[in-house]
Amino acid sequence: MESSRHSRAFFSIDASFAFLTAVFIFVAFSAALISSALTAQSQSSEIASENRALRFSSYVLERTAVSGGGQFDGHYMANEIDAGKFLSFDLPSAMGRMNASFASIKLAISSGGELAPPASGSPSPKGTYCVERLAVFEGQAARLEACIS
Amino acid sequence: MRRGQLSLEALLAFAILLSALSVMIFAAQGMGQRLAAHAGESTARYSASYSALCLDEAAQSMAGSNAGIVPPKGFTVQNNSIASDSYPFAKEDFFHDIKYDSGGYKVQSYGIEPA
Repeated sequence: MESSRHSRAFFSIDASFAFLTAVFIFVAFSAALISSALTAQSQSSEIASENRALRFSSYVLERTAVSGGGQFDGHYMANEIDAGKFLSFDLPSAMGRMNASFASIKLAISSGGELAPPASGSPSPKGTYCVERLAVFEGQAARLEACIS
Repeated sequence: MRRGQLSLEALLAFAILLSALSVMIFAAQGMGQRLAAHAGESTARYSASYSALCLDEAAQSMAGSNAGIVPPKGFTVQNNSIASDSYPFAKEDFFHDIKYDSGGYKVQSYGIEPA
């Protein structure tokens, strides 16, 4: 009688239920850990991509800036966009530096009108990141939008 | 059967339980290692990204000069990019031609306009 009670105890419904509960908790805990790791990875990718778009916008502002003359020869006017340089900005070269698959720039002028050289490449399925910066165009406020993916 | 003696069924059940526990422990170990790698890579990516942001932004005013900035610990600057030594996927390219020379970063060329 005693031994049969012992052997039954190993296969009891209570024991099986406890074991299944333990497995369930383990799986649920693992899933929560993995999702938190993926979230951290996704956040770091997001931050890195946003930073890259910000650097791209700065690079565009710098490379398309109006050159100073006279005593400012050799310098450039920060954030002041030169239409010719902007429209001929070498997007494929900038993309090549960053191994990017897509890049576009657009300048919206406050009084109306827009400058936008043709975009280069095709957007990545991972997403395109855009940054808007304030700029000056021919004495007027303008908004530069630089996108990269 | 005498009192205290385990039956074959009990031994089998115990073996199954131990096997399941072993599998769970090994799985947890593997998962822990992967999690640590993910977390490390994420942190390295943050560092690389902010270092690249800092350097690319500073590059506008440090043309041809040695900024005296040293790379963060555990990072190497080469081929115009900064990469983590431990996590090669945590890598950021520079827009500017930035190299690391003894003593700090240097913007090698400044192609905006002939200065």
